[in-house]
Amino acid sequence: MDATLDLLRQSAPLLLKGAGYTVLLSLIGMALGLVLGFGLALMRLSRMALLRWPAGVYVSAIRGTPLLVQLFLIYYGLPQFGIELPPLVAAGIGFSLNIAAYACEILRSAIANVDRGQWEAATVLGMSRGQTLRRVILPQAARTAVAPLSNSFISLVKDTSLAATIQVPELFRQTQLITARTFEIFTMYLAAAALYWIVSTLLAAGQGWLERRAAEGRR
Amino acid sequence: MSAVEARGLVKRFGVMPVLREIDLDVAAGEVVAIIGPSGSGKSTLLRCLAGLELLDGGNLRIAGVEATPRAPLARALKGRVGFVFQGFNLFPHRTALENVIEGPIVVRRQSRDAARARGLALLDKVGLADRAHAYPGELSGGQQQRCAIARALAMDPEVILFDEPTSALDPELVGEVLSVIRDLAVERRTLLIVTHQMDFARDVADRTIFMDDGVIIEQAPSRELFGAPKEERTRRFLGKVAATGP
Repeated sequence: MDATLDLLRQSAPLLLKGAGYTVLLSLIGMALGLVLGFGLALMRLSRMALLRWPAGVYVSAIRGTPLLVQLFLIYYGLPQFGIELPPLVAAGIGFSLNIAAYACEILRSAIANVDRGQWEAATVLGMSRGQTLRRVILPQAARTAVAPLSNSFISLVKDTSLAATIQVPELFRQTQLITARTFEIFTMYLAAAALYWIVSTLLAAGQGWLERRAAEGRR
Repeated sequence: MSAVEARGLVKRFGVMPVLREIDLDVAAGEVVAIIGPSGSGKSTLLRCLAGLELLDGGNLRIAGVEATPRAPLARALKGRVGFVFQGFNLFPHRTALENVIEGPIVVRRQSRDAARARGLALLDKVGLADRAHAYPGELSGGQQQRCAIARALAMDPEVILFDEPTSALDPELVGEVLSVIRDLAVERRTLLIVTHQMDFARDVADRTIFMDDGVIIEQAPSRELFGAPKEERTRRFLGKVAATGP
């Protein structure tokens, strides 16, 4: 028992450092993914086929291929064309591009589900398409989108463990390195699982808070 | 001076003609009711006048703005034509007052203070002074529709179009909305009202138009049209409405 505690105490700095990377990658992936996903959603909702079509293909390709394959393409594949990215950058790009496709679909359906009458009411007031979107449609769409976006975010937190395969020293990678040295396999992976759980739980609590805030004002 | 001048308006949904060559003139200050069976095209006519539907043909001039076939009219109007929807369509994330001042602030670039003062006065006018800070979800249907009327009024519209404004309301709430519209008629505002409330049309509208199958069958001063309809189809419709209730 004492030996286990000792091991955990010794590993803690490395594990926490790994968890730091996990949180960092999650936040970068979500932030950039949301921005990109929003742009894609607008393209998907556009009246111009030239905008709609590429966004549709993008979403289909990303959602139809494994994230692991996408990360390998970026980190191991791109150097063939002279593009060598540091592991953290490659992972950040990979997660952002991946989350963008899911965020796009969530935002697109949230925007499309706002009642047509809301567009019409804003239109007869003389509001432009952009004004309507910003002031009338998005605040309502955001409420619908918060819950599924939070789910994507929590999935992302766990998916960041895939970055271990492209040399990012995140939580899973740190755990692998420690087990290779100490052979305390069960204990260490259990500790890693516990850390993932703690991070996800904190984020879920944040999601609850966001949802309650979004629900305010519509009673 | 005409508030509405429409010549040969045509609207099709796919290949189905919904409006067949409608001519319509409404003078400034006139109150016009449009009646007719469901599917007769009366709501579509109203939506075309507001620019919510694109025209497939004809010429339209409303509130001094010229509409051309296949060109969006609604945004060119900039709120000069008010529209009151059957389903209210208030913005659910905005209070009653915020709903009313949205257009003046965003489209007319009025100062927030000026828009608020005017908005509160308009809410008072429709009997909602004490509900100014309530959200639409906290209001009854009748209150929501009165708020929607205040929202339209805030843009100082030259014409206000009402698309079955009481059809989505519980019967006991119809009266409060009709009474607000009646007040606007008394002020000699230009109103076009699609309605199933025959008594209201007869009492409040200067003129009533009977539409069927995308065509104006008959129009006359309201008392005349309800008292002595000339066309057989009008007589049949009015007879049916009288037989089934109010």
